Amino acid sequence: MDNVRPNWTYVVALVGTLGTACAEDPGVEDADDAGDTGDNGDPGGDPNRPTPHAPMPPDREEPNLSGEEAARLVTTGIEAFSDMNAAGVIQLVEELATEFSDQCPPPLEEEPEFEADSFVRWIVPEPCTTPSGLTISGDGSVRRSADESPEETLSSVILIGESTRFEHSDGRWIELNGSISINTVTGSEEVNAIELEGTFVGDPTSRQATPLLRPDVQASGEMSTRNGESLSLTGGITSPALAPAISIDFNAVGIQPALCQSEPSGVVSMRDANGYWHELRFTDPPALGEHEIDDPFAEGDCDGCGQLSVDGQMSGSVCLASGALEGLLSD
Amino acid sequence: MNIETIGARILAIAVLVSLAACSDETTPGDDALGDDAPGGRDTETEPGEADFEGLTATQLLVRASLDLRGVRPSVEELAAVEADEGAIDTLTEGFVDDSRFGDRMGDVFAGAWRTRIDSYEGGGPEFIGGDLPRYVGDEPSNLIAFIALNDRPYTDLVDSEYTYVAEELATLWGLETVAAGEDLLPAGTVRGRYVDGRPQQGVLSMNSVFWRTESTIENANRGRANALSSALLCQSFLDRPIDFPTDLDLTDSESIRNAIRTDPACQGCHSTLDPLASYLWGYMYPEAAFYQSTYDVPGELGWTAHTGVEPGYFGRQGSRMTDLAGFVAADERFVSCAVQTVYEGMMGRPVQLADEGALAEHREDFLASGLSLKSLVLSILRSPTYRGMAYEPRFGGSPAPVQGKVVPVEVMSSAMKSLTGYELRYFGREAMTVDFALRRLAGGSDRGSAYDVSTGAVLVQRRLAEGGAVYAVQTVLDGGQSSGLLDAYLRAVDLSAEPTAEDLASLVALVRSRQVDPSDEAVTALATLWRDAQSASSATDAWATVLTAVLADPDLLLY
Repeated sequence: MDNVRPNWTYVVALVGTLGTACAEDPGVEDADDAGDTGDNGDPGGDPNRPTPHAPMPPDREEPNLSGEEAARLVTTGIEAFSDMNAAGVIQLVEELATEFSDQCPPPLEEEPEFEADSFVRWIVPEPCTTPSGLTISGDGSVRRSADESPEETLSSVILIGESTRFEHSDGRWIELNGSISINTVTGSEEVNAIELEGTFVGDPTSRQATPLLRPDVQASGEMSTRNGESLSLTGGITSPALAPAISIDFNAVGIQPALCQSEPSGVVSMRDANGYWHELRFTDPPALGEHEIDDPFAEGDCDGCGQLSVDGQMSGSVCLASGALEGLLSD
Repeated sequence: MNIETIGARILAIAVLVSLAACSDETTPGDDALGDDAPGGRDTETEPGEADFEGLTATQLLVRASLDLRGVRPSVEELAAVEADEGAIDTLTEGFVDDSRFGDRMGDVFAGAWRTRIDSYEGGGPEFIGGDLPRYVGDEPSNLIAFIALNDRPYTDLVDSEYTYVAEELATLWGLETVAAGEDLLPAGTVRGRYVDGRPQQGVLSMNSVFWRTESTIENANRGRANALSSALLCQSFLDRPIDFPTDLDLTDSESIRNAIRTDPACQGCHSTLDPLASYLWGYMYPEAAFYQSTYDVPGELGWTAHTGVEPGYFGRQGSRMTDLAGFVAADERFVSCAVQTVYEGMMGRPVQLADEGALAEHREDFLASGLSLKSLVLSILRSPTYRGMAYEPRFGGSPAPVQGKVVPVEVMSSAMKSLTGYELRYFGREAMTVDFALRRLAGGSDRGSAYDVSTGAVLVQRRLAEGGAVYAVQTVLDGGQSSGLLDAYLRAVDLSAEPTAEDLASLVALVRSRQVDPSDEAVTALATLWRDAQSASSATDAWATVLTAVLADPDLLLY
């Protein structure tokens, strides 16, 4: 071994096993940064010194969502979430469930102990097929109930599916891995609340009426409207309808025209195709800002504008188009 | 062929071989290793002895063929090297262009990813049995196979926008399949792309990686981050010494969170582990009954709600998975880890401090090639250490020569199958890929088996030899055709008659990769075995017996 310093083995060992990405060997003169990610891959002409791994840094994509697009996507995202038609998924499942037979799905070993106006349950570890051509696998249930009082009626429907697949010989099919809960109050108050969790996919025909069944669409979270006067949304949605964004996350987003007609409250985060998150943070309406929310951003203005940050860096104020929120509560 | 018939015949053959082994001191099993065999027991060139001068050309041919192709060399290749030892380098270096090279590289890295487990119960009932668990488990290895087959830079491991999986799995997971053009695909796969909005970053985008290592909200992806660090950087946080605070209330989540943020002993790992884990929230599905195959894009922000720790890579900031991939690809440890993994896979033993100089040499070749796995493999293939010789690398150290090593599970399986066409299956699954069938017994596991072999490998080899021999003979007798190399051999001989010495010498060459003279005592012993078995049963059973003896030879276990 020629011209090898006595301690070299240990230097190599350190580089190799400890991965000291930026370490220099104090025993070697003119040492390069062995693990530096700079652009100099020249070992410096010393054949006894390992070459640094110095790849050219990849071209870094820039954020590709403008402030105007971010502002527009606030309403686009809320509309997309509203248009998921989760009730359509439940309706499709209930239609298919009318074709259940005595043996498919297998009879339940225990009857449910709760009360419900209607309850459909399937536990099918091995796929079975009904005489009408419906093949069932997985577990799940649909439960409808209503609670009436003199003032109001609470209607509830809950769908749960675990690795469930319904496939009909007529071409319809649906896969359920999650839950949908829809609660409706009618009477002195009118409240509609939807809660989504998991993934749902269906055949192309069904997808047209129910975007939630598209394989490239996901939605989860809670959305509610009250008396057509307010809307609250916490959750996320991923959909081609959000282009140029990939996905939008709503954090305690609220719309209360009675307090502020031009600006929602909460935080809307948009993920662009290059992986960057654009966060649009709105102040709360004046009433909330003064009395209820302990938040430094809750200054209580109503100017229709929010603070936009991209990848954690503040990039200024962005304003919604005039009247952008109109119509979101009318559906 | 009737399974019960095969089973009965295998049992009979096993008895015949055992009887022969007990009664005849010159059976091949006792005298299988030649004088110059790696791993030989009875010669003056036993491994570890000072006068071992390295592998012969034919031994190197066998080793390289098994390591790079998973099969033994053909009789023609053997003859070519016997005729001209100088041909060995050209021949063996050509193995990296073989279509089976990709699978072998996938095997070498499989232990790092640990995805080849028996079942993925969390994926749903369909991922418990059948082929689906294997399809999931092969996902990282398939990408490595693709990189190796097409001589792509190793950084594709974290930069590929595609994954390579069985078509059935691609459909189940909703992947978009993409035409591969002229690219070479790993056997049995299609090129697919996740279309659920996840970043396309090779293994960092694979369902299999995150199905294999689960996480709860409380764990906050830390286990997954450590799995990535182990596989990509060969650095496990669990290897670090921990001065664990004794006054920590482990039943109180807030107490734990506070300690992680403030206690220096905890920060020793968590200051880098937690930012790494924060990249992975899109794979969190705590509320779901089963693992999800769909990425949760809004979930990427989960760290804001649960840990408050921004994504980062060992002190470097970058919020996107793409940033993480770039950091990994530029990390010295990523390169060193690849070199170490391939080195260990080919040497059949874990690296030691004495190997570090050699690793640095191979790393140089790897870097100079633009991180080509083919070049890295060739660098190791050319090294004296691989060829059983001592040397001093220019960067120091004195790596222990690899004079003999035990065949890894995957190689034993593929080599046997290539000879006999036989594949032992267990409830419809390839037994050598399933722990609760034969893999564990043979020393394999999801940790890989490059050097994690077991004495049980002898039993597994014996079982495969018996099954393979009966299958190969019976298939010919039934007029069928097997995919094994022995098929043509068995068709050329007379299975109703005693083999000639030339027949047996050819059999030894084909199976054991040894050119022996018909008068060699190993051939004589096989002839004696045939006659003993024939007198106890029948000519065809005697053929199966002889085949079993040759297939169970230590030559197929040690190389």
